[in-house]
Amino acid sequence: MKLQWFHVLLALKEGPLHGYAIQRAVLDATRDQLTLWPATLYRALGALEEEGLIQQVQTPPGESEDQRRLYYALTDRGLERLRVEADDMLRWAEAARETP
Amino acid sequence: MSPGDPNGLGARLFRLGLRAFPPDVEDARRADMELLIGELARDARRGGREGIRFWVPALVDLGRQMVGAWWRYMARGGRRASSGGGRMGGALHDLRMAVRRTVRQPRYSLTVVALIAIAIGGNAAAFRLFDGLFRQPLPFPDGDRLVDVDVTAPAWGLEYVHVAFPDYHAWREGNRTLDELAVYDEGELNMVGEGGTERLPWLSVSHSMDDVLGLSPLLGRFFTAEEDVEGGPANVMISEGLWEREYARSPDVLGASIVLNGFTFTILGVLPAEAGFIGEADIWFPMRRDPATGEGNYSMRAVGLLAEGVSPEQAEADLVAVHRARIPEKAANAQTTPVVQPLRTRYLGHYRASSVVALIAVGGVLVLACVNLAGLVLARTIPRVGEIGLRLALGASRTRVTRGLVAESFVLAATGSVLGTLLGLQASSMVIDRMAGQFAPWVDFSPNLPLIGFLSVITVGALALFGVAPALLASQKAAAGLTRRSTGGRGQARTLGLLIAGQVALALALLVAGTGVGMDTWRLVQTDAGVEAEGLRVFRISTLGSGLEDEESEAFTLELLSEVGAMPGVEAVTAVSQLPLTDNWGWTLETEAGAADPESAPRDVSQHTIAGPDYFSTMGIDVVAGRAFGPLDGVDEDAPVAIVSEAFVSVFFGGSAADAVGQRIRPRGNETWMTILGVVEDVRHNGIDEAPTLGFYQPYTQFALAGPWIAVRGREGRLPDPAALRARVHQLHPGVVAFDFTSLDTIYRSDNWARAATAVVLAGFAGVALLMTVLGLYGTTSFVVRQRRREIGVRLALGAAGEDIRGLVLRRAGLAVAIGIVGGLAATLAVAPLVAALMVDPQGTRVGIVGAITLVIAGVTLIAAYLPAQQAASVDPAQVMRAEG
Repeated sequence: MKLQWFHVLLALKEGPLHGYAIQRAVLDATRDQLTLWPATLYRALGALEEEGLIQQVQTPPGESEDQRRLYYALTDRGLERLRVEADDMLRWAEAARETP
Repeated sequence: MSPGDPNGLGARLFRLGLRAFPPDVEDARRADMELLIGELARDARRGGREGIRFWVPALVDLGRQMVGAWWRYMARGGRRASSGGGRMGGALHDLRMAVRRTVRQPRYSLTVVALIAIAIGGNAAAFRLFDGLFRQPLPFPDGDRLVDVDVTAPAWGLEYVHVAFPDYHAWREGNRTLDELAVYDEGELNMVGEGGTERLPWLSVSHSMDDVLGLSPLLGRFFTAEEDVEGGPANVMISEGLWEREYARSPDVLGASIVLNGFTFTILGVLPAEAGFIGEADIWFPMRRDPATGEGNYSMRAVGLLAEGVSPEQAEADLVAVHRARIPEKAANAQTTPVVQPLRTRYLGHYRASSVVALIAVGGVLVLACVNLAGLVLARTIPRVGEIGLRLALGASRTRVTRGLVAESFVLAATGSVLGTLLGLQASSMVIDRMAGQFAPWVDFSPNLPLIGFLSVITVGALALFGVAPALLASQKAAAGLTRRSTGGRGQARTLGLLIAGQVALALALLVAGTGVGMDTWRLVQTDAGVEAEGLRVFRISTLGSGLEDEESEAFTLELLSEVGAMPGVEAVTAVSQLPLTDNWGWTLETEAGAADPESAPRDVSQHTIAGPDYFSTMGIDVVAGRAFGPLDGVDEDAPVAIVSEAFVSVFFGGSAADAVGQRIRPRGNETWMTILGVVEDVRHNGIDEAPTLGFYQPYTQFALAGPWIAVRGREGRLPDPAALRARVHQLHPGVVAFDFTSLDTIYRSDNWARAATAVVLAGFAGVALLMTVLGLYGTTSFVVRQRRREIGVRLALGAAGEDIRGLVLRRAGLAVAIGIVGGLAATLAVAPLVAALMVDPQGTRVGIVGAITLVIAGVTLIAAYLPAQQAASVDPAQVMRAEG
């Protein structure tokens, strides 16, 4: 899975977010290392949606009423996929840490 | 560019980019992206990352994703995720699939692309040259009304003798068909500047030249009629190049003085670029001639502007009438006739035949390549008829299926065409550069819209022939319900047979033409020019402006010869007034017998050469009878001498060379007789494809040798170094200029280059044609054999012998080749007159050569068919039956 896809899924783990919030969350999570420019972010969102890993949802209560905002949330498949990917990463990280 | 500003340039570009995404990106998502970029821009401003540091990566990212989005959109056949497809999207999808298929089969793709590139490249080069030579308008306001006016004199043995000033004057005054007429003469002079002595080309023009050409000066003015008279003011005009080099484009150049050949002139104006049409010259002088003198000096060129609605023929008739009316005062006008021709015809007419033949040849190669490829594509498509039938049965339209089949050929044709165009432009640029000095300056070879149009049309034509036709045929067969088991039938075999016949015909015609022109050129190259051109370094010297008087100049030349003769590596050296293919000075001579009967005596013009010391031995011109000039010949003014050539003897004396020695000759109208000391072999002064000129030589002791050519023969065929020769000249006298360094071999080879290049190109294309034919025949025969394996198996099972099968295959191939040969011979006859125009000796192409080529074609094509025939004969019937089930 592409790194930016993983980070989008990771950002959505806490609950539904709009594009700007996802972008901020990824920046925070990567300590400003990974900037998702709008076109790349929406390409990732589109691809993840086609794969059925995320979906568009209604504006959550208490959020901005701006009609233009689209909110995304993880699907069950998305959550499962995030775990699988994270497990893989963990395994690779441990393998890398092991002294030869 | 402020990041937060919604109307800033970056934001506007971003919005524009969003609109350029394919239609399957939903509007809601675009709106959200717009919102997001606004928020990110605001953050960037707060964080101090303003301007291009923010917008450039944002826009680059947008562009990258846009390309990806379009690519995915096309791959889906132009469909939105949820809606139906568009025609355009379907075509793009086909193209994408076709690109994939071509990449997956590199050998086939490269073959097709290479064939198309060669054929299109040849066409691009041939059309560019033809277009530049014969189609581009001349760069003048009334270019189509410009005509060349010259004088022909068959009675003097010369096609063109050029114009005498008094004749021009009479034509200009007396004609009623030209709006204006001008004459010019050309040469080179020395200009002494700060950087030393510079050699400059000049033109001497009549004041009417600017009206004929419709020129306006860049600066200042042209000469007036009042100034263009004998003894008129010493004015000149200079070229833009000289204005830039010497005067840094300063307007103060007007009225400035310039010293040329030691004389001072006043600059009157600066010429426009178009003035270079008659010859690239840095200096224009006014003619300043007296129309009453120079009747016999035929040295000028004339150019006229036809009146509206007048044809060159009408103008010629008009000038001939004026010319003949002068016979009472000038008897020579009975033997000379003005000739009026469009500029192109006069200066480029002799390139027409080779251009047209080249166009036909490359056109033939293109058709051949297409026919060949059509066979190849057909052979690859027909096995897919079953699969195509299935797709039709499943509801695909025939158009859709055909489009899919054509897409692959389209991709290959387009790639080959682009490559070929680049190849062709490169090749034609090489030809143009190589021949730069031989085309008039007004010939424009820039690639243009007609060239692109022509190449597009032939590419589409080629695609129709090799891509669309086989695809239509295959889908038609599929639609007709043919199944995988079909052997293709007689119709298919006939189509392939006709393709073979067409290839054989074209290859035969091209081979005959290529061989004919090639052999003719080879014979020409072998022709003895009369001089030993190899190993002869030549250059000119000019003492004008050096301060040397006439006699001092002659002494300088002799001193130079002795100095150069002593240089290491120099075998011999001489000086001469004119070299082959350079100048062309002629005199009309008479013999003692001819003087007694001037009316019936020959009037042929003889080439007048002033020979320096050791001229004949240095040039390698053999003395046939008598002897060469000795150092004392011609010194005695009362005993002038001459040497003549064999052609001269045959025209003027008719007898043997030995008989001519001791006879006397003189220029018509002169008093003094010259005794013939010897007869030398003929020299092809005007080129090895021209008949030898009548040679008439005088020694330098008898006739002044001004501004001579120096010819230096190196030891063991090695050419002496120009730098060393130039240094020696400079050492002897710094004011004398040495220029035009070349070799006699180069002079002859340049003259023949176009002919040799045509021969090589024709022979090359003929070879490609033969190769394509052989490969095509092999491929299609193999294909037919594969298609008919089952039938062959059945025949063998029923008792047919292997020989019968081999004979069957060979008979079919042989029939196609035979039809092709008949067609090829007919085509050869049809283009024979055109090809003959390219040859010096068309009779050289004898029936024997055509017969030999026919045999070669029949031989190699039958070998190409024999191999698959042998495969057919060795088919194992049992295996075939099992495989076919």
